[in-house]
Amino acid sequence: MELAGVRKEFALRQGLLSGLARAPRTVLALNQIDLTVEEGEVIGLVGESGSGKSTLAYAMVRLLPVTSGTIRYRGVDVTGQGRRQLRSFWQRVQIIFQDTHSSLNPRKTVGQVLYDPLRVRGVSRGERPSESGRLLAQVGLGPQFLHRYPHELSGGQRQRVGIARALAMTPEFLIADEPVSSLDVSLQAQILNLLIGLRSKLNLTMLFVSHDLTVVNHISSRVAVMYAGRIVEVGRTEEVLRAPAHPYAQALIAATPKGLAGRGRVDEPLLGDPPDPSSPLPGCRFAPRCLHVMPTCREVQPAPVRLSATRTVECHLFTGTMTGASARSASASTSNTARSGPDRRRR
Amino acid sequence: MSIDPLLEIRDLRIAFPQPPGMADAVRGVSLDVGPGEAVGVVGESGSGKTLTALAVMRLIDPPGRIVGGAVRFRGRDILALSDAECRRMRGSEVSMIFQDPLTSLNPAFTIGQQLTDVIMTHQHVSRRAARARAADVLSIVGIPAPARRLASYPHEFSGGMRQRVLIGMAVACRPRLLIADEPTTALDVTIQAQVIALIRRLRAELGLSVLFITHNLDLVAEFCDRVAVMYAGAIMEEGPTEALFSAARHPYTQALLRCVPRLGDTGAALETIDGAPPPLGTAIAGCAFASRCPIVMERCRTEVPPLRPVAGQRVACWAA
Amino acid sequence: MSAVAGAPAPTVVAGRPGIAARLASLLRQVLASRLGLVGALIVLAVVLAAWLAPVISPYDPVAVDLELKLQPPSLAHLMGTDQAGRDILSRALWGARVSLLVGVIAVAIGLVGGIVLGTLAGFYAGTLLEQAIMRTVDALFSIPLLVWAIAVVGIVGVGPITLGPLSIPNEGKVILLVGFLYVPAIARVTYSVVLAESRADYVRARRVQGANDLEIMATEILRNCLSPLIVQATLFIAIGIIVEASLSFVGLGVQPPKPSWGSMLADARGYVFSGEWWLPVFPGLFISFTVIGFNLLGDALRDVLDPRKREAGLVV
Repeated sequence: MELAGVRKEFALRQGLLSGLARAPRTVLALNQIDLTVEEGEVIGLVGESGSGKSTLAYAMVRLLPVTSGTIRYRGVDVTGQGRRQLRSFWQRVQIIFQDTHSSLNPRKTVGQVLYDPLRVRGVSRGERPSESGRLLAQVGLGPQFLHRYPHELSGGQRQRVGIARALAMTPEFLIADEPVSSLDVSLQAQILNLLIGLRSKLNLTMLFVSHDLTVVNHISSRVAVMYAGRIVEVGRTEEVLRAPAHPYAQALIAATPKGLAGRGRVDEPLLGDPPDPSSPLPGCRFAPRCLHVMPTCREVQPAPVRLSATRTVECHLFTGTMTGASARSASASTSNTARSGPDRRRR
Repeated sequence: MSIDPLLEIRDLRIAFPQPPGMADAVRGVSLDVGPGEAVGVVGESGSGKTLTALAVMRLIDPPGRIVGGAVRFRGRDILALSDAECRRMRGSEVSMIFQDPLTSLNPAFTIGQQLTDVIMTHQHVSRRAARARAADVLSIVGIPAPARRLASYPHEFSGGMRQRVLIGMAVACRPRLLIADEPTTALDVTIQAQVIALIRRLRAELGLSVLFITHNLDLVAEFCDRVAVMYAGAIMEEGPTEALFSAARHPYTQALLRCVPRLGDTGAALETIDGAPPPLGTAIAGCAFASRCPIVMERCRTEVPPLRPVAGQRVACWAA
Repeated sequence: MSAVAGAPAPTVVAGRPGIAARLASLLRQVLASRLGLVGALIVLAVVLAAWLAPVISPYDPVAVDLELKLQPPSLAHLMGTDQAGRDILSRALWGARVSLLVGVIAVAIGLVGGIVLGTLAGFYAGTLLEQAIMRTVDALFSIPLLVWAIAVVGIVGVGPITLGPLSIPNEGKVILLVGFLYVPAIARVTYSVVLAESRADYVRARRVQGANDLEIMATEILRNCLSPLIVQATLFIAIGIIVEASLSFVGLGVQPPKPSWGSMLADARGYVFSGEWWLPVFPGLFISFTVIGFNLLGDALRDVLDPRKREAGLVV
């Protein structure tokens, strides 16, 4: 999937009268996003509140329309497609949600929840019970769960049902929006293992959104760090986490607790608050909190800079240190790569 | 600890009614916090960690009840205090901060009003003096332009700042013990780091002891001097942080440490613990972890293992 | 209110518990509470009385026999006769028909209108449609029901509504008026549920399967509204009965000689203190018991369908 120049603005709700008086204030949730997801890879999307990562996930699965920019899937522009046209798209791209309480209709049984996508797929009535049983087995649940209601399930079980529902549409690209954030530690590990297993068994491509770097590190081969609606750094996971280039990425890693290894070291925490998306400032959005801020940072938005074949950063510290021209990028993940990506960055 | 502990919890039992009888939520928890110490309590949902903390503050909501054990703070029996004495204790000697900064502050009052209320309740000073003190508190916790911000309402602050205000309210009267119940769970990682740094600084400046409750193992490993691991209402293992994390003796602790992803990981499958933690209040015979334990023995299912000292730590396991 | 004795968990049999099984479970739980039982019995009795009125009435309710006027209750006339010699028991039984008819049909109208408007407003929250619907609902909500009914019928006049060959008696007007004013209340209840559920992730999941708005509203959201609406509907039936009786009392409802509890009370006005106690007492008792019965049933349903008790396993 390729995103180019994606922007997303939300209009703020206003009362009837003030809306007539002046143009509505907008919130810029996504600001010129360029991203390519290679087939077969697992890419992590990390960010804090207000970073726009969930918005980006929803835009990629076409739950949200974008204000400008294009989204292409396997070469086809799906940006402006309507619901009908997106039917085939949604048989290839699906999403699993974060909140296990609201991801299932409390008045529907698990079976009913699974029948809906099966019906869309065209599975006949007679085959639905066996097919949904198979889906449940794939996520580690027995067929007796078909008749249970969500409130009879634990959080981990509900999340598995959510995964089964997404898989029912036989997708090849799965977007996971913080799927383990609301789970206990021991359950997180179970679901993560499940996702890793499904990925290799079904040859899925995955986008894994999370605020937890440790989880993203574990499951993704590439990671994109978002801040205030922009992707500030993208690269192979080991590279970015071992030697982050962007000051925000550095701060994020420094702030993540590291267990015993982190004892005794007291780093100065990043000061300030997460950015307020409704009052965009000129220049780099990270400037108010950046330790290495320079005058240009406050005026000019840094453009993406290619640090290596697999690494891109948006930061004035690196502007002007572009490495040489088109390096063909090889996908960092292990499994099959159907196509090698073309030059992914605009510059 | 050779010094008298600040807080002693002995065999605390908390139960709540669940027809036909009572359900045990906390089953005999014993824990000490020394002066100036930071003790972490980690556990998953249903472990009873929050209830234990609430018990120290005598904030257990009925119909839940403390049905056994003792809690002593600076030698005084907390459970025997009258309501008035409890109120005097809360905020001035023991304070608590909670997980959600949004609901912990009253949206209808300015934070100046809420701060001065706390100060005036415990220290008999005039309102003007209390207001001055409140501005002090705000600057201690790192809120810029404190005098002006006194007039702001909670919703005008970000989540991290609100948590700072709450910490300020909690330490305004110089308590000896701060109980923090998942104070950073709802916050972004970078803000969490700010809050933790603040608590560290206050510990150093005020000699504060901290009882830190969380489910985040790595955070506790970095921040706390001692750690207690709770499961299904009982402490499974407790000891100095470094020892516990590098050489855990209880199967639950070991399993928990193995299933947490770390930044240095390679991507191999995480070890998991089969099943799920039992919901709060489930009746369990024997060791609470028996049903999921990889080295379970017959004895574990019938007899509850006591928390015994083993090589500098305390472990509740028949196999240790 | 009555505490529901520990509701039983659903038996998970081979198949999903079907509608019949869930309704049976609902019934069991309602009947488990004493007051719910009483309410249910009363409602059952009234419904049967109304339905079987033609069969079980001892006399023709409109048959006038001045010889027998103002007879006290006796074996021949269990509730006595009125000033025109008509048997009060028979009139009361037939009156039940009118009351129930008005109550139920008015609620049905209110449900249809209210569910449609409430769902649209809640689903499309944030748009002009929602504002338009909810502000209209708010305005209608402020109109007092009885005053409205009296005013409209007073202006339009009593008498049948004629649509070509069809002639609907005056009760039709009452039904329409009352139903019309039920719409805002039902719309509000529906709106609040739909508003909350429309934002849920499972709705998003359906969208990503390609479902359109109508499908989502019909197959996902509506079922979440059922519980509060059932309770509301039951209580509104009781209100409708009172309104009908009130209108008939002032002569704007059911027209004589058709029996109605309200008009029976009106007839009895002159006889309250003169000793013929059976004229006002029996119709009054019928009204009171019926309304109490529906209220008790509604309360019991509310307790049983309380979403906080969902853990008990009842899912309607």
